[in-house]
Amino acid sequence: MSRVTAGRLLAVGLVFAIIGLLFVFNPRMAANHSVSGGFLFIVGVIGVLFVGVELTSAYRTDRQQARPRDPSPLPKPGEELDATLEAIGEAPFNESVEDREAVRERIGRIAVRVLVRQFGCSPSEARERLAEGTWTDDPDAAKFFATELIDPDDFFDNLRASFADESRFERRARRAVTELIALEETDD
Amino acid sequence: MTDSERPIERETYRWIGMAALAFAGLAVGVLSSTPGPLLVVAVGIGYAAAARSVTPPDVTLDVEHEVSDATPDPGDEVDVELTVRNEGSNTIPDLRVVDGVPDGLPVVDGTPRHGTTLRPGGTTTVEYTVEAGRGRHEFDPLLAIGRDWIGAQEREVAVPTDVTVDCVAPLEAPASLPLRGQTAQQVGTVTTNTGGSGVEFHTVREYRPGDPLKRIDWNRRARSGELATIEFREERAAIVVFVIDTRVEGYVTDSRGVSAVEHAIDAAGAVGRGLMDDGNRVGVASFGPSWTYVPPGLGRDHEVRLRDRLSLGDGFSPTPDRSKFVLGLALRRIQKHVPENAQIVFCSPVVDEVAVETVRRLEAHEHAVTVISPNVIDRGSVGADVERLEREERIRKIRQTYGRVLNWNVEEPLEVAIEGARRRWS
Repeated sequence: MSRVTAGRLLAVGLVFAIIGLLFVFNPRMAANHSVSGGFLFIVGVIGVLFVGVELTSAYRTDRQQARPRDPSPLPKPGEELDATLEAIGEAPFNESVEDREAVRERIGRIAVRVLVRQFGCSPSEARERLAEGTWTDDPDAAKFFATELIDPDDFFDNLRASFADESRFERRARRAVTELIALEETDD
Repeated sequence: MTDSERPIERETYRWIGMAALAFAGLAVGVLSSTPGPLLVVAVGIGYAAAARSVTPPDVTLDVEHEVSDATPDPGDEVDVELTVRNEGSNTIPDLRVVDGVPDGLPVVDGTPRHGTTLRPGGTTTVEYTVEAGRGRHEFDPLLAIGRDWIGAQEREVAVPTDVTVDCVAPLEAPASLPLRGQTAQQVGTVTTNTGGSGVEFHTVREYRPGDPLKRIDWNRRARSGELATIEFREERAAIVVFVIDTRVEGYVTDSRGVSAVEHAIDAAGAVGRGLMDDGNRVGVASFGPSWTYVPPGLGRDHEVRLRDRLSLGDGFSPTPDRSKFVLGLALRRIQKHVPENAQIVFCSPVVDEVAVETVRRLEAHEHAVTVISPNVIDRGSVGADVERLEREERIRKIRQTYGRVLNWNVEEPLEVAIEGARRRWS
């Protein structure tokens, strides 16, 4: 609706509003104007319909706002991966499968190089160790890369996980990375 | 300045839902035949209708800035006084302004935001204080939003400003980084594989008439009676260009929020001064979307030029240039400008594979490359630990395949890292 049309409608509305107010404060003026119950019912129903129209319009409106530029802090290394891990922890399992795989693959690439260097094995042997979970004594770290079910969580593990601050995937990723760093540091 | 850019008109949605509420009152009032709710409805519909028919005020502003010091030193506090004057012919009932403070100037006192009512010709003043950091800081346009009396409609304008704060950081104290072999002809401090005068032992040869007495091997003379002359590794001047990784990736920060580019510039300044003090010629180049280059040179004037360009050059901006970076183009620029016999000191946090590829391709163009890599990665989160492991892998790869790396933990002084590297490289 253009602003001009809106202005005209406002003027018409104001006239009706003034008449209405006069009728309210001086009922004798309204005595000669009878309104049938059926008409009132239709006006009421129209009112209800307009409630729906207005609510729908308000809901669908794409609200744009001024966006003053806030100082954008420069990133810290690793922030992006931390955010991804957090998002994975909060998303339902079937909606985060791709992200999980991407994170596992990224950390897996480092893990293979670390294992090759520290254990003197070939890359394929390293990958095998990761898949079997035999590269570390830490069960959480082992489960992060394991493709076979090893040491399944019992009832208490599941209970603890449901109250923990971090998701099971985050915990396993953290433990795996900690183990890799520990392996690298034995080299120093 | 009265020019206003990109005026945008829009609803504020402050009264959104008012019409629905009014119609609900109407329905209740009519269907229950009670006049009370109808009175409330009149007010509600009045507001809703007015919100749709008013126009936002004209926002024509004159903006003036006064800064206490336009060329401060790093760490100085600079007071900014912003004066906004309504140049329009109508009152702006609700004016909100946000000054365009550059990212490199954090506000330490006051606020650059202000809200007021401004009559025609009226002025309002905002005062705040920023802390100066290295670089050229150009203020962004001031954002102004004017609203009508009931706050239903608003007009947004950006008022350009021409305020610039230039903060030149002095070069750090000289640091002495051993460089790789060199072929330039002037006398300097970088060792070559040629025997001659110098400090480091190279070989012993037969005495030739005219050899200086101080280089005769007197021990051999005492043992066997033969005259022999000691040759030292000849030391010649190096031509060194510091190539600083100013891609977006170079702007990752340490735990204090200082970017790797800042650390790289500090290192280039310190090592560059050390090299120039020893008679070497030093230049700098940015390695990012913007290009700043100072050709190799020597002397006090050149040192001042280096300092100024490292602080104020477009290529060394304190905030990242987010335009597209093309590795091939950046390398071609280096090839075109940097002398063929120049050594390159590539200053980069090495947080991605492009940094490794850059070293490989610079070496392939027969530049002797040394990498100074400020390590800004904090410990403690999974992401940071993964980045650290990946970076160590890249540094290992550069060391094994391409060139020297000075892995500098920015929590410790640069000299400590150089001393450790000197032991490894000797």
